[in-house]
Amino acid sequence: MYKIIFEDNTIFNGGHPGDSKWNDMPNKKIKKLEYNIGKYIIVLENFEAYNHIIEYSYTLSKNNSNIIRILIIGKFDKIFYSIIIDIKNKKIFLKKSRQIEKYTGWKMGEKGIKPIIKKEIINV
Amino acid sequence: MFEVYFNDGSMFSSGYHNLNKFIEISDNKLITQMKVNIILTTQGIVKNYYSVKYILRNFEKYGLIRYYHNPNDKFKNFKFIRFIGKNSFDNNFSLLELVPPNNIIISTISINESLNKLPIVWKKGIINNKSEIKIIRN
Repeated sequence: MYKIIFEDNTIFNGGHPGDSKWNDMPNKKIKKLEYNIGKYIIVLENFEAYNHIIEYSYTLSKNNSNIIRILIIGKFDKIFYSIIIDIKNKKIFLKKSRQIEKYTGWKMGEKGIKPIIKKEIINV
Repeated sequence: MFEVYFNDGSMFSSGYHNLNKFIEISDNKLITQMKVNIILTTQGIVKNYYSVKYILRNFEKYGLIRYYHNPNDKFKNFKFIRFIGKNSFDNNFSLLELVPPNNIIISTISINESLNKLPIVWKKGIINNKSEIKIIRN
């Protein structure tokens, strides 16, 4: 699902959407986050903080929950860069904002000169 | 803790761990959504704390019930806590049920079950869309 490369070049591999293991990662500064979604790898680098949010909608009549959005967020100089993976509408887009929902689970990053966001197609 | 958001754009927060504040929610305002923030611990040897947010929205009314193991216990340990969404056109209650320390259950129960006999404090909501419970987690 995702791979974290820390400042000491060690790697943490995330879980799956049902159990992302985001809160199990070691308390070290993140150098780079690579996120696999379908045929894309999304890369975030140089941010001062990172977060990963999964939004589920629970359908009361059917008694089940579905993922509706995944957010990969980088914070840099008071601006939040949210990569929004809209599962329902099959879209991936970037949203920049100064204020976002009060999320917990922020992980410190190794801040670089400027934030880097890349969306690459996986070559099979 | 919980936060309720009203249709006039204002909000009300319970503050940290103060569920008694539910009764202070204004009866003159309509709730669009209620956010409940729950702190959990990871299952590994090293315990990390993390939180999961639950959002109840688009209900005609919202309720809260706390069940204690022993109401006379000065520590008031919860057996479980239920945040409730209810619509007049639906015979079911929609529940977000917290069972300490780490269990969270989303369910619906019929109006005929025991919940109907309990004195629930209700707060008024407004429906703009389909009733739902949304879950936000890492």
